[in-house]
Amino acid sequence: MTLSAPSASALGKASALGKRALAAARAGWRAASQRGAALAAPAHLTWRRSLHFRVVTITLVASSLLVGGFSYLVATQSTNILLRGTESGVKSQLHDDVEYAANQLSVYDQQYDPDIQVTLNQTATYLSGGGPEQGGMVALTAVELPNLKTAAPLGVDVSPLIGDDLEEQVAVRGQVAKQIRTADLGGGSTKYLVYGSRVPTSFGQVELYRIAPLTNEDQVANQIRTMVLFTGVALVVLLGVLAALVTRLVVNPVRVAARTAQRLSAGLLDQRMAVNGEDDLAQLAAAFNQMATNLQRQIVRLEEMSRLQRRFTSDVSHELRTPLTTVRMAADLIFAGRDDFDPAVARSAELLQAELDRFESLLTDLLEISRFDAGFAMLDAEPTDLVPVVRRVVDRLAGVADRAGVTIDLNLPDTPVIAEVDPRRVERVLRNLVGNAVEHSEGKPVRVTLGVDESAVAMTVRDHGVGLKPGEEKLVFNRFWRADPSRARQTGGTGLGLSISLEDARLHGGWLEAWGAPGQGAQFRLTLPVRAGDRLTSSPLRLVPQAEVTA
Amino acid sequence: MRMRRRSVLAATLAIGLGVAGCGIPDETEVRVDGPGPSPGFASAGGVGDAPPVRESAGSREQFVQNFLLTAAGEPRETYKRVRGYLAPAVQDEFKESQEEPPVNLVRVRSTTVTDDTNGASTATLQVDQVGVLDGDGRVNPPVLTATSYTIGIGQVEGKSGWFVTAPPNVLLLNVSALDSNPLVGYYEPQTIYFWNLERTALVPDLRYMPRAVPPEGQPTEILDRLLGGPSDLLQPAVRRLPAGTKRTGTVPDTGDRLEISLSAEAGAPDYDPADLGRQLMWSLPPSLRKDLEVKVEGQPPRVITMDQAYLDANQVRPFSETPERFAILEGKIYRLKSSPNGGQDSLPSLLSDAVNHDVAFASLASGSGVTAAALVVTRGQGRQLIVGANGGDRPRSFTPVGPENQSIGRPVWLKAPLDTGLVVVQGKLYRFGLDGGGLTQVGLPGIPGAVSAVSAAPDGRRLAVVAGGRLWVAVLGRDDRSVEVLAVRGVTTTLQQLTEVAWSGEGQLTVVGLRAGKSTIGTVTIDSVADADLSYELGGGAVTYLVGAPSPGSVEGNRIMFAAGGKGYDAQGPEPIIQADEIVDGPSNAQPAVAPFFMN
Repeated sequence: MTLSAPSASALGKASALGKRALAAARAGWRAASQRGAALAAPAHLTWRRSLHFRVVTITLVASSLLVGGFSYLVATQSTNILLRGTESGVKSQLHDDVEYAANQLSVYDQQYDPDIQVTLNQTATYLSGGGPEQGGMVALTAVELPNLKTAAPLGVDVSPLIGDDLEEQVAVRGQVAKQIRTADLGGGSTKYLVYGSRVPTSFGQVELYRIAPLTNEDQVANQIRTMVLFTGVALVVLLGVLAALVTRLVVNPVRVAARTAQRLSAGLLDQRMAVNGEDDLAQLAAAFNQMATNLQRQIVRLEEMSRLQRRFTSDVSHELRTPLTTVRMAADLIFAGRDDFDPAVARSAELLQAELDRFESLLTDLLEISRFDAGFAMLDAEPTDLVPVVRRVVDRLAGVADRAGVTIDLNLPDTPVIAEVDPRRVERVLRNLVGNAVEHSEGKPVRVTLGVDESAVAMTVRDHGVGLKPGEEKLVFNRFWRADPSRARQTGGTGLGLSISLEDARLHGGWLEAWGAPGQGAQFRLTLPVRAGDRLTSSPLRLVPQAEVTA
Repeated sequence: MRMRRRSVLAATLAIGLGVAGCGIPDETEVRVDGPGPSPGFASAGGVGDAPPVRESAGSREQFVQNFLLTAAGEPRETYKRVRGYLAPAVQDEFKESQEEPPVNLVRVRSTTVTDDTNGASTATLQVDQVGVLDGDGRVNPPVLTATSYTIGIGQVEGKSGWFVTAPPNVLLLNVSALDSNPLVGYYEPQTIYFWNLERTALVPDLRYMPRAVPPEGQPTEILDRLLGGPSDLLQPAVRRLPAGTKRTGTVPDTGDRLEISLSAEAGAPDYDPADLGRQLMWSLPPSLRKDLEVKVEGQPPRVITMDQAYLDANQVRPFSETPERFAILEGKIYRLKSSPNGGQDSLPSLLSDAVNHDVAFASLASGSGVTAAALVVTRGQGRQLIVGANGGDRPRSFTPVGPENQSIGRPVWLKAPLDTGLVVVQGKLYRFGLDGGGLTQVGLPGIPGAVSAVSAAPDGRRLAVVAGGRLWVAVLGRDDRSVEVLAVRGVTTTLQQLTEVAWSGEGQLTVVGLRAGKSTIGTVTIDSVADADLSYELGGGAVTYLVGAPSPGSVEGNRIMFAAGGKGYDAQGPEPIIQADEIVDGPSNAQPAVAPFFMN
């Protein structure tokens, strides 16, 4: 198919217009969907959170659909019945009208007889009787006879009521046909049933249309519709209210149970639900209360046991200290005079001295731990420059490092790093970390870094020893945990150092974290707030070393 | 909570929309119930009944004759037809109109066509004005007096045939167009009926119905004519329909009856719609006559059947059967065998032997239970009118009325009611009655000359009078003591010096006059339109006596009896001359029967 130039350009214009319209429609849809999404978001949230809302919404939607469908059926059926009745009445009237008109027109056999128009008018007026608003009216047309004008009573213009389709069916195809149309014939816009038939005459074809106003039928249909509508809405609202009430009956105890459970989990172990009646909900409450009681009993028992254990540890430590002091004094005496003993005894005196040192530091750590457990640990925070603290720790461990053949690199800022910390505890933590690093570095250098930003200070201690296996980052802080139990007694640590360090960091409101990988060593990071009591959000230094990340 | 409200709103809206969609729609598709009635077919009537068209003329004379017929037919098409004859230059003088123009009827005596210069012609017509035909088919007396018209004839370039280039300034119609012979005329003479003022009988009114009107359309047309009122002559003597009465529909034939729809005015308190029904029923051509349903707005429909009241409405009815015929033989009245039952019935009891002798003329009439007889009996040298009646509330034995007089003519009875008779005595018209009074003269305003003959129509309201050798029709106003002539109209006929007249049809008179000095019987319609001679072998004798008996619903008729050369004639008898063997119980070897008459 080929298009001529103007039609092609017209088509082009049309397609451009079409595209623009499509784009506009898309934009509109996008805007609408965004708006919808914005509106739907809180609805979605409520939907997820509220069982009550879900049940009521589902009830409303389901009952709306059901009632809507039913209402539609009732209203449609009743309207149809009304219309059918009217139609059959108008049809039989049309039959009589056609007979009358055919009789009236049977006296003519020439279409140019001027009396035909008069008779058409008279017939239309006679058959119309009460007029268009009462019993309807009759119009006579002669489509194929141009000399005859449409006859309607009182000169009413019926052309808006007789559509082309109806005219085609009646005048051209000779059918009896009907149509409902709306028009204003002077008394306001009214619906009309237009029924048409051909009138047999001797001079040509005349068509007769009976035009019946549907005012009453429309009123009745509207009344039915309004009634059905109100009934439907009332039913839906009633169902919604019912659903809301029923759900409330069920959901309220569940909510109470949820609140109670929340309080229980927050530690308020004496919270209980009220038990009303003997129904399912009452059983739920009773069972819940029973569960809460059992839990409370267990928790109290465990707390008591834990308290006794800690107390026992503390007491044992204190009780051991006194005989230990005596043993110590005796041992010091023996150790001082070892040169006088034979070599085997002298060696034993040295061993005794060393193990007593170890025993003493173990007791000290145990006491420190039990102080943390008992909640007696107090933070003695003061503004402290951390650079000298780091240097001091490294200096003190220099001997140990030398013995181990390990160099300690320092990476410290040039300016003082002031933070509100307890210098004794920070120093103990650092000492533990650096000591550990030296101990596990297997002769490779250890690097200590100090970093600071507006809210936090951080220290990392990096070694390149055996490293940590996956999962061991947390275990390292457990009491008496050792990476390799076979080496337990080789080093002089008590096995409590990192535990105490973690408690110290927590006491500051800070973090103590570990990173490690097998064969790549480990890094520990201590992060502390610059001002005591502040919450930490980030650390100035990375936990995982940069080289490992890029690797 | 807000969300919940919104969802409730949405649900309500959904129901609302659903239900709102199911009322009566503003517009629906066209739905077809089935096939409608099939178209009807026209009857064969009305086709080919139009006057000849311009192109059909073979000569200028024929063209002129045709032109004088163009006004015939459907009156609303008259202008159109006439324009078809006119040359384009003069067509504008005739504006097209749907009015029904009055048409001047002329009887053409001669047509002369003369050649002009430049190829045109002029036709000169010598005419007699006959009357004016109007849209309701009435022929009223002529209003024009011109006896000569000229018509210019020419040709138009590019068109065949002749054109009228100079038409007369009035519409002319040759009276032959009204001929009842369908081969000649374009109209059917009809009588329609109006009630007399006393509502006792219908009075016929002669009209002409175009043959172009199909039978289906005739009842409507006739109803229109009834609503249009009577012709000028009848105006004073008949009732019009209630003023303002209109038909609200046509008059369709629904199979077993005709339906008439009239406006509310027809229900005037002093007017019975049944009267209109009977009036219309009689007015219809017999072939279309059937039961009627009269619907007057605001009243229940009434069905009018062909009952006795319908039959009684027309006084002519008894003549529809064979009328009773009598003749006078040697002064005595005898029945003729051509009467019903072969004339075997005895004479009316009124005509006892005591009076049935020396009778010169007799007139018998019956109606409304009364039989009346008026006899002119010979008393020595003179004559005497004696009148008797029986039945009814005025029985009367024969008593003389008026003085003896040599020149008493044949008396006539006026019916509806049958209480009055008329008789001509010495050139003057006198009334006599059953009330016992004498003769009182009836004035004949507008009728000059001595009255020589009188004949009363069976309706009792119309009278034909021959006075001074001319014929007149008069309408009468009556009460039981007097007769008054309300209107007269001259009837023109081609016979000269008329002497006798008789009603032979409802709209037709049979007259006796001279044609070329010879006594001749002829007929003429009361509107002078149709004029014809009846040819009887009269043996050279003058017609001295004439009676007739019209048939109901028939404009014309030939039931006449007359006397000429001392012999009685019956136009419908086995032989024109009434033979002796036609006299029932007549004396042998008697004189020929004279003065035959019908029982009116």
